[in-house]
Amino acid sequence: MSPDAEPLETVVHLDERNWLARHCRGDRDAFAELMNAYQSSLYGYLVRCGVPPAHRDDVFQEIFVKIHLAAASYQPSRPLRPWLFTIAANSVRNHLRDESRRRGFGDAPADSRPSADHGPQALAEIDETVAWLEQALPQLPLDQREVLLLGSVGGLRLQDIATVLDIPLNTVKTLTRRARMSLANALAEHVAGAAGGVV
Amino acid sequence: MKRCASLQERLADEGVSLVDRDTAIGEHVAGCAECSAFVASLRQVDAGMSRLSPLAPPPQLVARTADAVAGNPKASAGRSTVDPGARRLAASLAAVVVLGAGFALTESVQLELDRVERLVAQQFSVTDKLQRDDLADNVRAPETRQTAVAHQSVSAMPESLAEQEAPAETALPARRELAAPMVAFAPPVPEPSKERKKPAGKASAKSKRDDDADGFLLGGSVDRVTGPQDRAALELYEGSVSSLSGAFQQDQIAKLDVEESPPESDLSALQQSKNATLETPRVLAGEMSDRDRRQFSAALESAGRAAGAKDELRKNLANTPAAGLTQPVEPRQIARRFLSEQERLTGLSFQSDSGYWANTYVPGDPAIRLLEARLQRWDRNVLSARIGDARLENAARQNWQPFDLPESAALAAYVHADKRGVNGRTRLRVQVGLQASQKRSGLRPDMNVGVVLDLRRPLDDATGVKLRALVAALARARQPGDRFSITVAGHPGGLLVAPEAFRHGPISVAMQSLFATDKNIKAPSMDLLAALHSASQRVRQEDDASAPLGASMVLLVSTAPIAEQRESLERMAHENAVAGIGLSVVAVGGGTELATIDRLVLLGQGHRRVLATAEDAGKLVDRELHAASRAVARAVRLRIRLAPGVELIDVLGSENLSEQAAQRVRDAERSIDQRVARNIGIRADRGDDEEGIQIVIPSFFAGDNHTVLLDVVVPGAGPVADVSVRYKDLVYRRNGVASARLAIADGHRAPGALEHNVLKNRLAYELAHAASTAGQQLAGGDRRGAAHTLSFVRNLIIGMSEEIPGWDDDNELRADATLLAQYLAVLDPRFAGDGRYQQQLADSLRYLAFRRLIAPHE
Repeated sequence: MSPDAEPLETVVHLDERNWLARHCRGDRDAFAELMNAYQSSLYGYLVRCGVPPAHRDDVFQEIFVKIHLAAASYQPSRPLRPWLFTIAANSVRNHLRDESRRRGFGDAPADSRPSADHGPQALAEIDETVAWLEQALPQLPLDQREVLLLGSVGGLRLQDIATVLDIPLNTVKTLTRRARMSLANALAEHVAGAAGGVV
Repeated sequence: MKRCASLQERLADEGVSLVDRDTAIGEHVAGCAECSAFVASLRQVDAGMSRLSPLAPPPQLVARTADAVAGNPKASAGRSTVDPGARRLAASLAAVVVLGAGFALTESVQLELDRVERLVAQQFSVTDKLQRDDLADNVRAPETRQTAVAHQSVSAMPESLAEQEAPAETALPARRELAAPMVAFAPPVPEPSKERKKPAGKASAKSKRDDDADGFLLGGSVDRVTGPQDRAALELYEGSVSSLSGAFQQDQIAKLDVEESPPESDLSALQQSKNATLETPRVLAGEMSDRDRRQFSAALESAGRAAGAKDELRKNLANTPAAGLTQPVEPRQIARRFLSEQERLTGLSFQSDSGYWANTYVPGDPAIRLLEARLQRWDRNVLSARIGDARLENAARQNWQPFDLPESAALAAYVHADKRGVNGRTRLRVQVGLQASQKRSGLRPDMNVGVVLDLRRPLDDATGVKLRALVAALARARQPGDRFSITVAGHPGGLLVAPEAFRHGPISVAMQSLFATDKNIKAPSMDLLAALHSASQRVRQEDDASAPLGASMVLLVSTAPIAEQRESLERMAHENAVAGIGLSVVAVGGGTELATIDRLVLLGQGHRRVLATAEDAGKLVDRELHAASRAVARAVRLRIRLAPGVELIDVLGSENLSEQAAQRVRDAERSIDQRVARNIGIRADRGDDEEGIQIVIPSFFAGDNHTVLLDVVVPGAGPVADVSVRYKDLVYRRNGVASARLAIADGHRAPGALEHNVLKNRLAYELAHAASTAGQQLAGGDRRGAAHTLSFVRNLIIGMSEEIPGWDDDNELRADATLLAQYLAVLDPRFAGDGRYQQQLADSLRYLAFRRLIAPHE
């Protein structure tokens, strides 16, 4: 996420802040509304964070079940989006950590690209840089990947990202800077025809 | 090359727009191939990242996830196992029972309704408390107490109010990205033992003070410059000094007038209504006979448990208040009258929309602290056995407000109204909201404290123990950079412990010699004024001009009256405050004069605290030393300018200040302004009056929010008000400004969530006012009047919850109704007919009036 384009929340999304309270009170539609609104951004987050295709369904379900179970603890006076992404980020981290232990090597997954569910045609429609980014993002260290994706896919502000990841704001800025530099340098090499991926 | 690397880091940090913003960088990039390529790549990356679209999950996955949520074991525990048809049948049966009882009493109910209609109009036609008291007196007439059934027919309403009345709410749209199959979900079941769980994520981190159950420390930050509650608060102190100095006098309660139980006929009529009503068990279970209890349980079995959350709310809201105390009024009718009154345009009187108005943000109000201390002593065990949850006033909370936290400022301002659109001349409520950042101004600064022990009179043993505990707590709380000293007023007087000797050993020795029975009678004496002067001078000498405001202070530990030197002390307190040295006072023992102390700390811009027990000394000291770091904004100047043609009826809960009071506000504001400028370096910018309504809030604390409600008449669509908030931003160390404007659209528009929020805050004011009135009535021995006042506002809340779409399952209204039902249950003459708890309940109600609107803390 570019610092020039940090999301600016100018509208208070009051309606969505009531979803979980309504869900707790038995409103059958409230959770479906929440899923409608956030399923894509949360799914996009976990995919691009590097959850392998074989485990995406499990992690996706786990996120929403956790949201459901923790619904009573959500405070409507706070924005919903960071709260949801806190759960998502923790779930993804836990999964990647467990996966890493099972595999016995680093946290970079074997295949972090979007699944075939989206089809080659969909991918073909994405412009070249975006396609390249889809390939390059999973090569970033997880912490850099998280801050970038929470900003771009999650639409969170830097302060919210710090809160979600439980790290200082300055660390978020540092990770963002490193990630952007890595991507920019790698893209420059890519454009110049150099072989080799992201540092 | 090094410069290029550094520049690229900056570009990655601050964005590529830096190239355009900084000419030198732009020139370098233009002439440097490496940096130019980097910038181009970075632009591409940014553009690509911004175009990363959300990825829709496969539809089957969404469906499976929905199933997983719906079938979650924890959630299933809370699902009804009763067939919906059976549920409707049960609800209908209950409705028939209630309606039957209602019809039997239709005639008397109608007569009563006519009577109460007139009274309701009277109730809301004026804001003066006396009018409300008149209402209570009128409604108190014996003939009006014989029926209590009409409003209970609320349980005869359709099973789901939401199904009958589609909410007109048009809340601001949330982002929606993809459609998903609509699936029914089982709601999770909140654990009944926990009112609020800890949030799972930090994003919803709970304010610490929500759990702050300390009520025994009497620490009042006198942050209000002046206000309508001042007089009442001071009266309260002066009348309660004796009770503070010793144990609460139970025999005093017994002397209060006790009303007799209502006549038998009243009880029987009410008993009928009780039998016909689905009651909240914990409220009334204790009052019921075995037969009643069985019937009640059966009703619950058949309808209550199965009816789901909304029906539970309806039952709860519809429950019968304590016998003998219910007003025979249809809640919905009261609500309609209330809403109608909110629209009334005739017979209004208008006020000037300029000048200084009283500050209503008083979280450290001394009266709150006093009430807290008194309520802390209340043994509620018997009460708990009676009504279950005996927290009463402690269960009350502010409404949550839809205010986002400020991102890079200490304060944010919001302005809303209770209408979205108007047709011609219209009355509406304008709400100005302030929200403080949760970020505090920093860790505790190094403190420079001159402690003055007032030992002019011999201490009793208990006071001596507390005083020693206080000094020991100061020694424990001392950090490496702190400068503490102890000066003694009395005999022997003077400096007892110098800053460099403020360590455990020297302090112990000094305190032992101080309290030794064999004192050296030749030692010099020092009066209180001289001791304070000496301590102040020492603090001034040690004062660090760069330290945050509040880091230098004099702490007077008062054990005896100070009225004899009051004027001199006040003058010195004021001079010290102007010089940046605050004065706080800790009252220890029974010889203190709280009213005098309050005046002193008001001028000294410090805090007044009462040390109730030696065990509390640590917390008291901790709070005093950390007080400087809690405020995020000082000298908050709220200016509300109404648009031409907009007429002001009232600023709720406030009052237009006299010129004398306004001058005090100006003085205090300038004083803070200058101190902040001197100590922190924020430019002084105060001294001029502004157009419009001006409210000065001396301090605003981290995480707090506050609303100011204005009752106005607008000539039609168009601008209504513009609001500016100027403040000393202690978080970012600058002069902060927040502003907001409000304009109303043309034509009627259905109210949305923001408009309902304003109306709900208006309702909270009504509850707070009623609680305060009932507290006064109860303190005066008028239990029945207090009950009527509470019952009336409870019916209003119930009626509003039925009348306003979407409010039928509102948690905050439900909590209000339940809370008021608990008060009414305790006020039941068969329970408290002997006057038990009367004084405690009066305190509790007064405290409720504060707590419903303001989150209490230091």
